[in-house]
Amino acid sequence: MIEVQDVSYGLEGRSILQSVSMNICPGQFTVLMGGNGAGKTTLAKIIKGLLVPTSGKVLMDGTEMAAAGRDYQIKVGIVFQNPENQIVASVVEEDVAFGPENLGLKPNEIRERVESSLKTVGLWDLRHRPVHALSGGQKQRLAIAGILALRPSYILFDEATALLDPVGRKEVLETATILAKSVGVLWITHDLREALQADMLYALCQGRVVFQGSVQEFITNPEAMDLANATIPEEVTLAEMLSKRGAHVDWPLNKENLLKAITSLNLKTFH
Amino acid sequence: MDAVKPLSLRIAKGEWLALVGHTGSGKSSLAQLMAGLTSPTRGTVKHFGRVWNYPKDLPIEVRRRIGFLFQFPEHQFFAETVFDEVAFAAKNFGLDNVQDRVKESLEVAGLSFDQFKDRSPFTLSGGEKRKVALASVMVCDPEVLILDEPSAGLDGASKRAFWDWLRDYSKEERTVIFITHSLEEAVTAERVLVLSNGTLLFADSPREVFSHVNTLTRVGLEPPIATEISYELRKRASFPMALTVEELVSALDGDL
Repeated sequence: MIEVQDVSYGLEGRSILQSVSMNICPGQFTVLMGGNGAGKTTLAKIIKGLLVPTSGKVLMDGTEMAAAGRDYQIKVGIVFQNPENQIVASVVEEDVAFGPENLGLKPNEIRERVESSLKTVGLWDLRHRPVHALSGGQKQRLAIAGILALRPSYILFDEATALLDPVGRKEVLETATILAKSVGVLWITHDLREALQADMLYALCQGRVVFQGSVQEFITNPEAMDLANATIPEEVTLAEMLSKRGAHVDWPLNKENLLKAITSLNLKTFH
Repeated sequence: MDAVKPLSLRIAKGEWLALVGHTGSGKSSLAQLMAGLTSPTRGTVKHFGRVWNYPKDLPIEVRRRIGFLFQFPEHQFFAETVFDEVAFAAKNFGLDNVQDRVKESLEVAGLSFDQFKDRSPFTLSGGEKRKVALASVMVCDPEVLILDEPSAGLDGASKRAFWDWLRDYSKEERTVIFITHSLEEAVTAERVLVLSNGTLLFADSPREVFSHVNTLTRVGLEPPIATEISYELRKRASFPMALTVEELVSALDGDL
């Protein structure tokens, strides 16, 4: 488990994070929401170890980040918003090999890791493709494969879908969902639709944690929603309206479950 | 390869137009042609009733009438402060009341003038950078506003405020063309242009365009949840096509 304990961070005399505490558990999909400028990216960089907090600490399995050193860095991967900024090689498989090569692993081990990582993200068939010929979603999945090749225990996604089209968005979110079964995922977003599957949700506002709980609790807490600058997705609005009309709506709120709820209503047309 | 294949299109003054398509569909290229930032390989683009020799001989008065927001606006920041960044275009075009204009456009973009004017645009968060870029386009009060994914990276509340503002802006006889991946955003448009691999598939009202759920899904777009659900219901019985949750629910209520 990654434990963020009472972390504060300031820059140029401005306070960006104030006494933030949160946990990221293995095998869970943890969501961090918050408006523009709330401090989400700064917090992600601190958890990754790219920034040092002004006060407070970050622990992994009880050991402080600073004490764990490089082991910590390898165990925590981060995917940024812009796929262009995190690819280093010109061919798909070479990009994934870059990390393991730098760890000084044996060629066999490197090959094995490249193969399993690319298979996990569904890019194995494109392993010889030049990276410039990939779509945005494929580039983000390539970035994820590069992280997986280091065998991480945690992956942070910092608005990893913000620049993608709906297809790319779905690809990356689905990949992260699958990964969350084995590693700890921190999914940073301001799109509540991407948070609907969260095991745990945190909301930041002006550098403070203003909410911690389930998604269901969050969407029924107007004050927290407001502080996180979040808006209700259409799926949630529809589910609420259907519930009011006596339908039972199952989670997650997707097309199938909403359709099921609608057909359970006593509609004349369908009799 | 042609990023945009032969197409003909007329955009009227005051129109509110959405341009949608998957990544690489040619949206940005078409938008840049519309803005006069690039010239077509073949064919012509007329602006304000005549063909200009874009982009070379474009008179500055005409240039000022068309505002363009790039997809990655933060890549073009160069000034030391937010104020200078936003003021640049207004000063360059020789407009008066620069201070008032900067203040107004920052507030419209959702940033407090006093809090942000002296900050460096490079130390802002991702969403704040987008807002500064937006303000730097709006500062010249263009008649034609072309926006390449203006709401990407904005949080929910900022998105809502931005769309409210944009709708008001367009009411004053201004032409607004916006690119989006979100068909939920395109629902509000008077006309929706759908591009796929450089070909214009549809140029019609949202109601007409959204009735082609299968085609839209095939070209990598995601119709709003209400449209998808009403489409499924229509397969089973006669049911009206809904563009919004409100429309869907009122159709259901009529059927209960």
